[in-house]
Amino acid sequence: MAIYNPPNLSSGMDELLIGTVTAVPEFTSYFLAFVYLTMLLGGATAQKRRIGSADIPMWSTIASLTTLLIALPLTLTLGLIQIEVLSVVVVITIFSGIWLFLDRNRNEI
Amino acid sequence: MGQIKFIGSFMMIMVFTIAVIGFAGEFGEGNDVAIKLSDPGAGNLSQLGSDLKNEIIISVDQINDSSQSFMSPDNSIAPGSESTETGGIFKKISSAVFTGFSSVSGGIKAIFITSTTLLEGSDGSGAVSVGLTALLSFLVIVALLLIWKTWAGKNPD
Repeated sequence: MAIYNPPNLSSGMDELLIGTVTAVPEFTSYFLAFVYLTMLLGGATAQKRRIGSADIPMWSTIASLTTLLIALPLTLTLGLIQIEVLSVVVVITIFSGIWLFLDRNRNEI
Repeated sequence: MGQIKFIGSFMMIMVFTIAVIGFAGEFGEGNDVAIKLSDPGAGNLSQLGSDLKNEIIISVDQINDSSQSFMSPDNSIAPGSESTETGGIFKKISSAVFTGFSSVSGGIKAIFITSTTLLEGSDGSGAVSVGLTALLSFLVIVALLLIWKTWAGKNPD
Protein backbone atom coordinates (compact mmCIF):
# COMPACT_ATOMS: atom_id res chain seq x y z
CA MET A 1 0.00 0.00 0.00
CA ALA A 2 1.37 3.36 -1.02
CA ILE A 3 1.79 5.87 1.77
CA TYR A 4 1.34 8.79 -0.60
CA ASN A 5 -0.43 8.86 -3.95
CA PRO A 6 1.30 11.40 -6.19
CA PRO A 7 -1.06 13.52 -8.25
CA ASN A 8 -1.33 12.98 -11.97
CA LEU A 9 0.72 15.78 -13.50
CA SER A 10 0.64 14.58 -17.08
CA SER A 11 -1.40 17.63 -18.09
CA GLY A 12 0.98 20.09 -16.44
CA MET A 13 1.50 21.90 -13.18
CA ASP A 14 -1.68 23.92 -13.73
CA GLU A 15 -3.80 20.93 -12.77
CA LEU A 16 -2.11 20.78 -9.37
CA LEU A 17 -2.91 24.43 -8.66
CA ILE A 18 -6.43 24.19 -10.04
CA GLY A 19 -7.05 21.12 -7.91
CA THR A 20 -5.84 22.99 -4.85
CA VAL A 21 -8.04 26.01 -5.62
CA THR A 22 -11.02 23.74 -6.29
CA ALA A 23 -10.58 22.10 -2.91
CA VAL A 24 -9.82 25.35 -1.05
CA PRO A 25 -11.28 28.35 -2.94
CA GLU A 26 -9.59 30.83 -0.61
CA PHE A 27 -6.15 29.61 -1.64
CA THR A 28 -5.55 32.33 -4.28
CA SER A 29 -6.69 35.25 -2.17
CA TYR A 30 -4.70 34.05 0.86
CA PHE A 31 -1.63 33.52 -1.31
CA LEU A 32 -1.92 37.06 -2.75
CA ALA A 33 -2.45 38.47 0.74
CA PHE A 34 0.68 36.63 1.88
CA VAL A 35 2.71 38.17 -0.95
CA TYR A 36 1.31 41.65 -0.24
CA LEU A 37 1.93 41.52 3.51
CA THR A 38 5.40 40.01 3.07
CA MET A 39 6.44 42.85 0.76
CA LEU A 40 4.77 45.52 2.91
CA LEU A 41 5.97 44.41 6.35
CA GLY A 42 9.37 43.18 5.19
CA GLY A 43 10.18 46.31 3.22
CA ALA A 44 8.88 48.70 5.84
CA THR A 45 10.72 46.89 8.64
CA ALA A 46 13.98 46.82 6.70
CA GLN A 47 13.68 50.51 5.86
CA LYS A 48 12.86 51.42 9.45
CA ARG A 49 15.92 49.49 10.67
CA ARG A 50 18.16 51.29 8.18
CA ILE A 51 17.00 54.91 8.21
CA GLY A 52 14.83 55.06 11.33
CA SER A 53 11.44 55.60 9.69
CA ALA A 54 9.30 53.50 7.37
CA ASP A 55 7.64 54.84 4.22
CA ILE A 56 4.45 52.78 4.48
CA PRO A 57 2.63 54.26 1.43
CA MET A 58 5.59 53.56 -0.85
CA TRP A 59 5.91 49.98 0.36
CA SER A 60 2.15 49.52 0.04
CA THR A 61 2.34 50.65 -3.57
CA ILE A 62 5.30 48.39 -4.32
CA ALA A 63 3.60 45.45 -2.60
CA SER A 64 0.31 45.97 -4.40
CA LEU A 65 2.04 46.30 -7.78
CA THR A 66 3.91 43.05 -7.06
CA THR A 67 0.63 41.39 -6.13
CA LEU A 68 -0.96 42.66 -9.34
CA LEU A 69 1.92 41.29 -11.41
CA ILE A 70 1.44 37.89 -9.76
CA ALA A 71 -2.36 38.01 -10.05
CA LEU A 72 -2.44 38.86 -13.77
CA PRO A 73 -0.77 35.64 -15.02
CA LEU A 74 -3.17 33.66 -12.82
CA THR A 75 -6.00 34.89 -15.05
CA LEU A 76 -4.57 32.97 -18.00
CA THR A 77 -6.13 29.70 -16.85
CA LEU A 78 -9.75 29.25 -15.82
CA GLY A 79 -10.20 28.32 -12.19
CA LEU A 80 -7.10 29.83 -10.62
CA ILE A 81 -8.47 33.25 -9.67
CA GLN A 82 -11.91 34.83 -9.47
CA ILE A 83 -12.83 38.15 -11.05
CA GLU A 84 -13.67 39.51 -7.58
CA VAL A 85 -10.15 38.80 -6.30
CA LEU A 86 -8.60 40.42 -9.37
CA SER A 87 -10.86 43.46 -8.95
CA VAL A 88 -9.85 43.79 -5.31
CA VAL A 89 -6.17 43.61 -6.25
CA VAL A 90 -6.60 46.32 -8.88
CA VAL A 91 -8.55 48.54 -6.47
CA ILE A 92 -5.95 48.09 -3.71
CA THR A 93 -3.23 49.02 -6.21
CA ILE A 94 -5.06 52.19 -7.23
CA PHE A 95 -5.76 53.20 -3.64
CA SER A 96 -2.13 52.57 -2.70
CA GLY A 97 -1.15 54.93 -5.49
CA ILE A 98 -3.60 57.55 -4.24
CA TRP A 99 -2.20 57.17 -0.72
CA LEU A 100 1.36 57.43 -2.03
CA PHE A 101 0.86 60.56 -4.10
CA LEU A 102 -1.18 62.37 -1.43
CA ASP A 103 1.34 61.47 1.28
CA ARG A 104 4.44 62.99 -0.31
CA ASN A 105 6.25 65.71 1.61
CA ARG A 106 8.38 68.48 0.16
CA ASN A 107 11.25 67.40 -2.14
CA GLU A 108 9.97 63.87 -2.56
CA ILE A 109 8.53 62.14 -5.59
CA MET B 1 0.29 70.26 1.32
CA GLY B 2 0.52 73.20 -1.02
CA GLN B 3 -1.75 74.01 -3.92
CA ILE B 4 0.73 73.12 -6.66
CA LYS B 5 1.72 69.89 -4.93
CA PHE B 6 -1.96 69.02 -4.50
CA ILE B 7 -2.66 69.47 -8.22
CA GLY B 8 0.48 67.52 -9.07
CA SER B 9 -0.60 64.71 -6.78
CA PHE B 10 -3.95 64.48 -8.48
CA MET B 11 -2.34 64.38 -11.92
CA MET B 12 0.00 61.61 -10.77
CA ILE B 13 -2.97 59.71 -9.30
CA MET B 14 -4.82 60.05 -12.61
CA VAL B 15 -1.85 58.82 -14.64
CA PHE B 16 -1.21 55.96 -12.19
CA THR B 17 -4.85 54.87 -12.23
CA ILE B 18 -5.04 54.93 -16.03
CA ALA B 19 -1.77 52.99 -16.21
CA VAL B 20 -2.89 50.27 -13.76
CA ILE B 21 -6.34 49.79 -15.29
CA GLY B 22 -4.93 49.97 -18.81
CA PHE B 23 -2.22 47.44 -17.99
CA ALA B 24 -4.65 45.01 -16.40
CA GLY B 25 -7.15 45.41 -19.24
CA GLU B 26 -4.61 45.16 -22.04
CA PHE B 27 -3.01 42.12 -20.39
CA GLY B 28 -6.38 40.40 -20.60
CA GLU B 29 -7.04 41.47 -24.18
CA GLY B 30 -3.53 40.77 -25.44
CA ASN B 31 -3.12 37.32 -23.89
CA ASP B 32 -6.69 36.08 -24.39
CA VAL B 33 -7.06 35.21 -20.71
CA ALA B 34 -9.90 33.25 -19.11
CA ILE B 35 -10.70 35.93 -16.50
CA LYS B 36 -11.01 39.39 -18.00
CA LEU B 37 -11.59 42.70 -16.28
CA SER B 38 -13.32 44.00 -19.39
CA ASP B 39 -15.54 40.93 -19.74
CA PRO B 40 -15.96 39.45 -16.27
CA GLY B 41 -18.05 36.42 -17.28
CA ALA B 42 -20.71 34.84 -15.08
CA GLY B 43 -22.28 36.68 -12.20
CA ASN B 44 -23.68 40.11 -11.59
CA LEU B 45 -20.71 41.73 -13.28
CA SER B 46 -21.37 40.00 -16.60
CA GLN B 47 -23.34 42.81 -18.18
CA LEU B 48 -21.35 45.65 -16.64
CA GLY B 49 -19.10 46.34 -19.62
CA SER B 50 -21.84 46.32 -22.28
CA ASP B 51 -24.26 48.24 -20.08
CA LEU B 52 -21.75 50.98 -19.46
CA LYS B 53 -20.86 51.13 -23.15
CA ASN B 54 -24.52 51.47 -24.18
CA GLU B 55 -25.18 54.15 -21.60
CA ILE B 56 -22.16 56.13 -22.72
CA ILE B 57 -23.22 55.87 -26.38
CA ILE B 58 -26.77 57.02 -25.52
CA SER B 59 -25.38 59.86 -23.43
CA VAL B 60 -23.11 61.00 -26.27
CA ASP B 61 -26.04 60.94 -28.71
CA GLN B 62 -28.22 62.99 -26.39
CA ILE B 63 -25.46 65.47 -25.79
CA ASN B 64 -24.97 65.87 -29.51
CA ASP B 65 -28.71 66.35 -30.11
CA SER B 66 -29.19 68.86 -27.35
CA SER B 67 -26.10 70.82 -28.25
CA GLN B 68 -27.34 71.40 -31.78
CA SER B 69 -29.33 74.39 -30.55
CA PHE B 70 -26.13 76.20 -29.81
CA MET B 71 -25.02 76.11 -33.42
CA SER B 72 -28.26 75.97 -35.41
CA PRO B 73 -28.71 78.67 -38.10
CA ASP B 74 -31.86 80.03 -36.41
CA ASN B 75 -29.84 81.40 -33.54
CA SER B 76 -27.06 82.90 -35.61
CA ILE B 77 -26.33 86.62 -35.43
CA ALA B 78 -25.27 88.42 -38.56
CA PRO B 79 -21.69 89.72 -38.33
CA GLY B 80 -21.62 93.33 -37.24
CA SER B 81 -25.37 93.63 -36.75
CA GLU B 82 -25.14 93.91 -32.97
CA SER B 83 -22.26 96.36 -32.72
CA THR B 84 -22.18 100.10 -32.96
CA GLU B 85 -20.10 101.97 -35.50
CA THR B 86 -17.52 103.02 -32.92
CA GLY B 87 -17.08 99.46 -31.74
CA GLY B 88 -15.23 98.46 -34.88
CA ILE B 89 -11.81 98.74 -33.28
CA PHE B 90 -12.77 96.15 -30.65
CA LYS B 91 -13.67 93.71 -33.38
CA LYS B 92 -10.22 94.16 -34.88
CA ILE B 93 -8.57 93.64 -31.49
CA SER B 94 -10.58 90.51 -30.78
CA SER B 95 -9.80 89.23 -34.25
CA ALA B 96 -6.07 89.76 -33.65
CA VAL B 97 -6.28 88.00 -30.27
CA PHE B 98 -8.16 85.13 -31.84
CA THR B 99 -5.55 84.86 -34.59
CA GLY B 100 -2.83 84.72 -31.96
CA PHE B 101 -4.56 81.96 -30.02
CA SER B 102 -5.14 80.09 -33.28
CA SER B 103 -1.43 80.19 -34.02
CA VAL B 104 -0.55 78.93 -30.54
CA SER B 105 -3.13 76.16 -30.69
CA GLY B 106 -1.93 75.23 -34.18
CA GLY B 107 1.61 74.88 -32.85
CA ILE B 108 0.43 72.76 -29.93
CA LYS B 109 -1.57 70.60 -32.31
CA ALA B 110 1.51 70.12 -34.49
CA ILE B 111 3.49 69.06 -31.39
CA PHE B 112 0.75 66.57 -30.49
CA ILE B 113 0.62 65.10 -33.99
CA THR B 114 4.40 64.82 -34.17
CA SER B 115 4.66 63.19 -30.73
CA THR B 116 1.84 60.77 -31.42
CA THR B 117 3.35 59.78 -34.75
CA LEU B 118 6.76 59.31 -33.19
CA LEU B 119 5.55 57.26 -30.22
CA GLU B 120 2.63 55.31 -31.68
CA GLY B 121 3.20 55.25 -35.41
CA SER B 122 0.97 56.76 -38.05
CA ASP B 123 -2.02 54.56 -37.16
CA GLY B 124 -1.95 55.00 -33.38
CA SER B 125 -4.98 55.58 -31.25
CA GLY B 126 -3.84 59.01 -30.10
CA ALA B 127 -3.57 57.99 -26.46
CA VAL B 128 -0.28 59.84 -26.17
CA SER B 129 -2.13 63.07 -26.90
CA VAL B 130 -4.26 62.53 -23.82
CA GLY B 131 -1.18 62.29 -21.65
CA LEU B 132 0.38 65.28 -23.37
CA THR B 133 -2.78 67.29 -22.79
CA ALA B 134 -2.72 66.44 -19.09
CA LEU B 135 0.98 67.28 -18.84
CA LEU B 136 0.59 70.56 -20.73
CA SER B 137 -2.43 71.58 -18.67
CA PHE B 138 -0.53 70.77 -15.48
CA LEU B 139 2.46 72.85 -16.59
CA VAL B 140 0.24 75.79 -17.54
CA ILE B 141 -1.61 75.67 -14.22
CA VAL B 142 1.66 75.44 -12.28
CA ALA B 143 3.12 78.35 -14.25
CA LEU B 144 0.06 80.51 -13.59
CA LEU B 145 0.08 79.59 -9.90
CA LEU B 146 3.79 80.36 -9.61
CA ILE B 147 3.31 83.75 -11.29
CA TRP B 148 0.40 84.57 -9.00
CA LYS B 149 2.09 83.35 -5.81
CA THR B 150 5.31 85.20 -6.64
CA TRP B 151 3.40 88.40 -7.34
CA ALA B 152 1.32 88.09 -4.19
CA GLY B 153 4.27 87.13 -2.01
CA LYS B 154 2.91 83.73 -1.06
CA ASN B 155 4.77 80.49 -0.42
CA PRO B 156 5.13 78.81 -3.86
CA ASP B 157 4.95 75.20 -2.74
